[in-house]
Amino acid sequence: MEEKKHILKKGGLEAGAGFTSKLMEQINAEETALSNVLSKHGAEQPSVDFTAQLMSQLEGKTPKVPYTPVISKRTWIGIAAAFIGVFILTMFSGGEASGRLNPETLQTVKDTVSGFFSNGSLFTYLILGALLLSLALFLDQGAYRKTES
Amino acid sequence: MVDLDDKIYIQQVLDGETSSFTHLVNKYKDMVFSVCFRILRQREDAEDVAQMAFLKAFNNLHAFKGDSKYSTWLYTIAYRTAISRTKLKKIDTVNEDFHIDIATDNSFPQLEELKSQEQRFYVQKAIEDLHEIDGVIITLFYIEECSIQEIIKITELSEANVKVKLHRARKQLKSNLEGLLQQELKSII
Repeated sequence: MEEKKHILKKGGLEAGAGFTSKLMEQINAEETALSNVLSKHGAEQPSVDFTAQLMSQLEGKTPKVPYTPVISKRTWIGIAAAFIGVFILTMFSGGEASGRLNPETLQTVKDTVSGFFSNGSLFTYLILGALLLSLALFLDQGAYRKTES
Repeated sequence: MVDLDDKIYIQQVLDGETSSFTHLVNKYKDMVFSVCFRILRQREDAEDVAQMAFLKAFNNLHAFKGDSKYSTWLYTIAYRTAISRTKLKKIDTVNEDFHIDIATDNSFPQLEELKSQEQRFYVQKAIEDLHEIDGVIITLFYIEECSIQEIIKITELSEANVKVKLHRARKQLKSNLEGLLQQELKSII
């Protein structure tokens, strides 16, 4: 690099003092000129009654309140994870060797499931489930109406 | 980050004072309209879409969290609404070429002696000669003085893409408006 500079200097081809600053000044001035011209003449304007037209459409309206459920998605995931966790713990607890399914627990689960489907309790549980779901939805909607008002 | 005036008016609108939205409309209508017009190239369409953008902004004002400028949020809505309108338009008019090359002869006169009205006409023509998105980027960068980061947020383009488009558009504009820029340079230096 230094050698190249030396050769250019010897041949009288070296850039004069302040070359870079002059160049940068020119570039900056061009940028300012373009910016000025565009600011003066570049913006578009809508029709005169734009605001009036828009505001007439908004008369008597208020911004929509976003719907936020009382029980968030994250909480639902947490509940599901906790339920699965408890279920797995129950299934594997009390076994002779860790990691093995406890036969007694398995039998209990089997009995419960078969009982669930045999003696008409499925209908009861369905009703109970529907009631709980309705209650959750009712609470959710109530909270939404409260936020909206 | 949000302009204090904007923050006050936004809060008033959220509190039910719909009329306060007028201040926000008056403040930003030119730029929202400009963004729409750069993309749609027709005043009626642009005005329609600009109104839609303001309506969307009003309805979703609760969603504005204030982590960016209100203007950036609003221009993003305007930009996306205009882009989706062009997509619909393209479907409607399959045989029409959407990109209209207005300055077909590329003959921009020397602008030194032109009156302000005529200068405006040629500047508008030069911007319209750019690609639609380049026109939006130039408008946001030079007229609204948005940062590159804000333009990225509005257009969802990559940083490199925005920079390339800005450089290309700047070069084309400088070439088309040479006469007018020389005059402006004289007044600066």
